[in-house]
Amino acid sequence: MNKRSIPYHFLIFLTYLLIQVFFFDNMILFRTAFCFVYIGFLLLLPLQVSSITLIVVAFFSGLLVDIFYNTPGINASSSVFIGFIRPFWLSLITPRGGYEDVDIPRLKTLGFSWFITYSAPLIFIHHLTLFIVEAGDLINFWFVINKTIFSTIYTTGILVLSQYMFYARVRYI
Amino acid sequence: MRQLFELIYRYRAFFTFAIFEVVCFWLIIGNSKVHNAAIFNTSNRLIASIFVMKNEIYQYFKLTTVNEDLARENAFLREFIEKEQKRTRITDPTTWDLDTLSVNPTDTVQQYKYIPARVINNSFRLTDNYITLDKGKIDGIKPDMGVISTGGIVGQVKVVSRNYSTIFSLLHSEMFVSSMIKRLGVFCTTKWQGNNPILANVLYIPRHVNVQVGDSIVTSGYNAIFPPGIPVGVVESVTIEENETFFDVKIRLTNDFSKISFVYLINNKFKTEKDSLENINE
Repeated sequence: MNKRSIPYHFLIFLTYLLIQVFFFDNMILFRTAFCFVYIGFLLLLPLQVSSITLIVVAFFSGLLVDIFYNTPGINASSSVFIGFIRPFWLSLITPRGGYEDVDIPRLKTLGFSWFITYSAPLIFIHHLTLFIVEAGDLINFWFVINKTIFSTIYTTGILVLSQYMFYARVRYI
Repeated sequence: MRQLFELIYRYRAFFTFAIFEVVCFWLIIGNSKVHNAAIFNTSNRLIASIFVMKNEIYQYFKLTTVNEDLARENAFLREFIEKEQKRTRITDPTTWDLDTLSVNPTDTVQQYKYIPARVINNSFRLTDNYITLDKGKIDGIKPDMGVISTGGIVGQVKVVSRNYSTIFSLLHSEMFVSSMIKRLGVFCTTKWQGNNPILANVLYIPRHVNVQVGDSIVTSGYNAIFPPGIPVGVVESVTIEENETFFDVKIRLTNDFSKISFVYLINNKFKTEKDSLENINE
């Protein structure tokens, strides 16, 4: 990420934040499925971003979402965790050709199945830590697991959908 | 020493991660029922103004239900006034005369003052839910004030900024409401159970009390936050374990937290008086 692209990424983040707060705040399905679409911002940051920058960015983006949800620290802690493990996960699932010429890990460039393998586990971990910390104890353990699974499906679905919507020129070969 | 720095440098990502996680958990713990500064929550002016904007879009979709609720409340209040008037006319013939309405000055002092407010943000699906209102310090809102709506009890004020306030919803893990069974006058405590915005638990109803499904639970007025008799819920199920002292009672909340749009904040004028009196006795 060069210096010039910082304002661009900041604008992207604001877009995610506003969509999260204005729209997905109210779009909770079946009382269990939450959509934390802002995580897409962290997942779709360029690969060149250093791990420390990623953690710092994750912290502040999580904290901003927290302020809107009145949950200071909860989204931030999960996001920081995602920021920390993202580089390890990326190196674990390196596609056959490596990440050459890849700037941003998009569905368009790396394919549907790679994108799901990349995003779904990270989203699952994010939601799991988020809901456990939010619940504060494990009395409603199965409810938390339930929420995590359905929310992961929901968020991943929305993220994949947005990939198709905004980066539409996917070539099916 | 050099080796230490090398170690830190090599695992710098991990250390950054650890530091930020510590900060996060410090924030999480600091956000419990302590009144912290109004920066990291929705009564922050910038955040609240965004919610006002959002609310202006969404409130048009709620207008029908809001109007229905208000009409129902008006009907109830009309009936109530009529009944009250009849009662006073029968028992006290002097009140036929309008001039004699101010009988005893202590009777006519209004103990509870109601401040209307609009809900600009509301969550009800989390473990700890909060509601943001468009009234703040300049409207006379103070922390700890009770909040009710047409349907019944809503919550309690947590943080107040100049123009906005954030309140604990009844759907919060640290909200305990002193309540009572209306039919029997037995005191108990209402606490939300944490995963369903419709149901709550009622604690500390002892074995010998004849509590039944369908009993209504109202506020007791013991803690000077809510006036007595504000509806909380209706008993849904009553069970008891073999060796337990208290019933396991579930109630259906009278308020539909997904539809709250307008609320009243309760200013109890005698709160300081009552609190100081109780502190003397302790």
